[in-house]
Amino acid sequence: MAVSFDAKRGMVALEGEVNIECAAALKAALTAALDGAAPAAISLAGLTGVDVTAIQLLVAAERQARTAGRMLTADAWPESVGVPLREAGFSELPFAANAG
Amino acid sequence: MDTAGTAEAFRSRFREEAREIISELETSLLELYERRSDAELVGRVFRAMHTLKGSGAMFGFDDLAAFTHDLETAFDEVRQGRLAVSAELVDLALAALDEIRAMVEGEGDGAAGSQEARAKILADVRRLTGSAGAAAAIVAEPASEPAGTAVSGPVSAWRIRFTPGPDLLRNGSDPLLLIRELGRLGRLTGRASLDALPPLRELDPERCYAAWEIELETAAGADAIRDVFIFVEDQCALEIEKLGEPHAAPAREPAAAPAAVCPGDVTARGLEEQRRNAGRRSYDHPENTTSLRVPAARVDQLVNLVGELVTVQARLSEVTARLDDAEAQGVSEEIERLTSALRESSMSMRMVPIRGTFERFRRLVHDLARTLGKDVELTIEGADTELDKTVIDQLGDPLMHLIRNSMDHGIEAPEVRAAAGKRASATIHLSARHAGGSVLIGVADDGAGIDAEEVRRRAIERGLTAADAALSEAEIFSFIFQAGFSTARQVTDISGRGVGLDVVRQRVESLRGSVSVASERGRGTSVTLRLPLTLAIIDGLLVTVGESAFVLPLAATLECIERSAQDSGAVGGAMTNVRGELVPTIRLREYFGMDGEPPEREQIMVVESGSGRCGLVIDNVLGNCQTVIRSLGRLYRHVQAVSGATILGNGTLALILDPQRLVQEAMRAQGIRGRPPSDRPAAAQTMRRRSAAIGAGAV
Repeated sequence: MAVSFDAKRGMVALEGEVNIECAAALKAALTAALDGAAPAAISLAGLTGVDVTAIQLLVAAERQARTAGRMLTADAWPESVGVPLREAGFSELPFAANAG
Repeated sequence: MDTAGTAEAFRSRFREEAREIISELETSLLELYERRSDAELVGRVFRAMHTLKGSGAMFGFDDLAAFTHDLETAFDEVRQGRLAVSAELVDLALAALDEIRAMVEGEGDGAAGSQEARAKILADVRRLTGSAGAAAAIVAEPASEPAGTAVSGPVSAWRIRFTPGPDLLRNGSDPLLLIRELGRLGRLTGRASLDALPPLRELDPERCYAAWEIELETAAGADAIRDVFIFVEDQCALEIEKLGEPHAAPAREPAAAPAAVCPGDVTARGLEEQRRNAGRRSYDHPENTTSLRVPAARVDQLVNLVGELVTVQARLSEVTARLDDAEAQGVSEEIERLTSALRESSMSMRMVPIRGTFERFRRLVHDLARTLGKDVELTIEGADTELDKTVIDQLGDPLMHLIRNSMDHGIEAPEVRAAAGKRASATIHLSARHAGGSVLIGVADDGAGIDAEEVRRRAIERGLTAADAALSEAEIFSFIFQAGFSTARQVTDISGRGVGLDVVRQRVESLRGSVSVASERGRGTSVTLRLPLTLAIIDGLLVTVGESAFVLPLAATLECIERSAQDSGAVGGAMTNVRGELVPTIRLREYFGMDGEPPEREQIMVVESGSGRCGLVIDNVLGNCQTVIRSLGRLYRHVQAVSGATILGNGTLALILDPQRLVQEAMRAQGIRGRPPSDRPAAAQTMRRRSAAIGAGAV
């Protein structure tokens, strides 16, 4: 499964291709992470590719965290995924400023 | 529908369309081989490659898109008159097409062999076009475009506003791939906007909320840009605006976020614009509004339902006939008419012209001719002749075997032909036509013909006939369809194993058809397949044994002989004397293990198949019937001698017997190998009989 959520650690892990096929699961995981008590984190290191749905959800999650004053961080975007995304017009990737 | 399923559904939709394009492309290339300066053909080839590349990229078949790119460039050069069509180019394109086919089917993407082959093809293509590693090749306008839009020339700057509709993602497209494709046209700078994104809780995960504003520097024209979005144009808002000559650095909008287009706007303004722009696409798919693509399973289901309706309607007729009610009978007749019309209509839905099957062989003939060093032309007649889809699907193999055989053994090398005073170029002629309730399909060549003496010798060698048997030519020729029979001195890679023609006969017979051969030494050979128009309905003879009813395919029945209990013949009932000829016989009562006493007078139905004849002892013949065949289902798949079932007008079930199996069984039981000793082999006689019958309008 490309998207997994470890409730105890408040960790959403993304592996491989994260696209429309797991969009619903990603939304559920991010929502759960933000609803949980612990500070939440997203692991992007295992990503090999994303599509628009994943970007949308991550941006929405980042905005939500900021609005609700919740702590949500992510590690760095893998270059192979981040570079094409920037080239496709996403100049500011979600969570890009706060690595780790 | 779950999204993963949708994505896969769209990928297979792409595969279907790609297969069609590939098939047409192959035909065009083969024609191009013969007519090298035909501009229209070149245009067709170019457009096909362009579409493959574009839709490949669209649906994530990146390897395919990249591979096709160089070929498209090569044919663009041809279009522009900068490169001539050569045999080498066409062969390269055909080889590339095979690779493309493999990629579409998802085979060997990473296989080393294929990678090498592809790299070699690309290297050869580049050598021909003289463009070593021409990366961002400019896609120029097709020459057929009206109203001068710029061909490759000066670079211009364009602003493109792209707002996907809400369902664009759900429908299988990915904007990121589109933008990447756009980027191949030149230098691209884009800004994605997510201003329309709702809060996480309200977000529909599968909906697209992003919009793009892009600046592109390219020499390609507006139509090439629009082409990138060709498959999504009715699901998004697209604005393409030329900005004039580019500045040193692309002008950036000062500060503020680009105006976000609300997804809501898409339906109104954007789509209207799209509709207006639609006609200006650089090529419109010739919209085939007169036909529909329907899954075969749905047609089958319809045909099945109609079949059941026919059955029940027959019972209705029977029941109302017994009533003394004129009104009910009137209605019943009305229903009978309608049902009959409905059945004809639904059966005709499954009828497909044989053109596709025939045309596929052009490639085979082309390749084989090259391999064998022979000059062969394929001509086709009657491509519009229609057959039931189930029959056509089964025809491919037999025809292929026949063509291979003809090319390998029938057609002589060019020198041999010249020495014999024949045209250097040999011809293989495929034909199809309707004849009565059948279809006749012919494979004829003007090659060396069959050596009847050789065949006879081989047949005697293999014990298929006695050394002194007087056989007609047709009878001799039909030996070539026996298992393991081959007069070829050498078993070549192509044929000569003696397997092919036997398979042909078996396959044709399993389709309830027959095969016959005519040949003239030195002039050529002609093989004719006779097949029923449809497999779903059987023209049968209804017979009874005890309480059960059986149906025999009419085409396989020869004659019916009366037999009384005393007339058991010299060999205890296992053989029947049919006008001087001994025919092995099966008592169906015993064969099916039925109880009860046989009637005083029984009948013997003589049936035949390609391997011979046999007699079937039955109680009575009820008459002709034409009914819909039902398969017995997988549980009964291994039951021999019964090929299906049908439901009679009175609601009872009748099993359909398989003459092929029964003949084999009868012969085996009597230890007979090959044809029964006879001076009137079945096939030829049946041919004559059937022709006579058709002539008399009986079929």
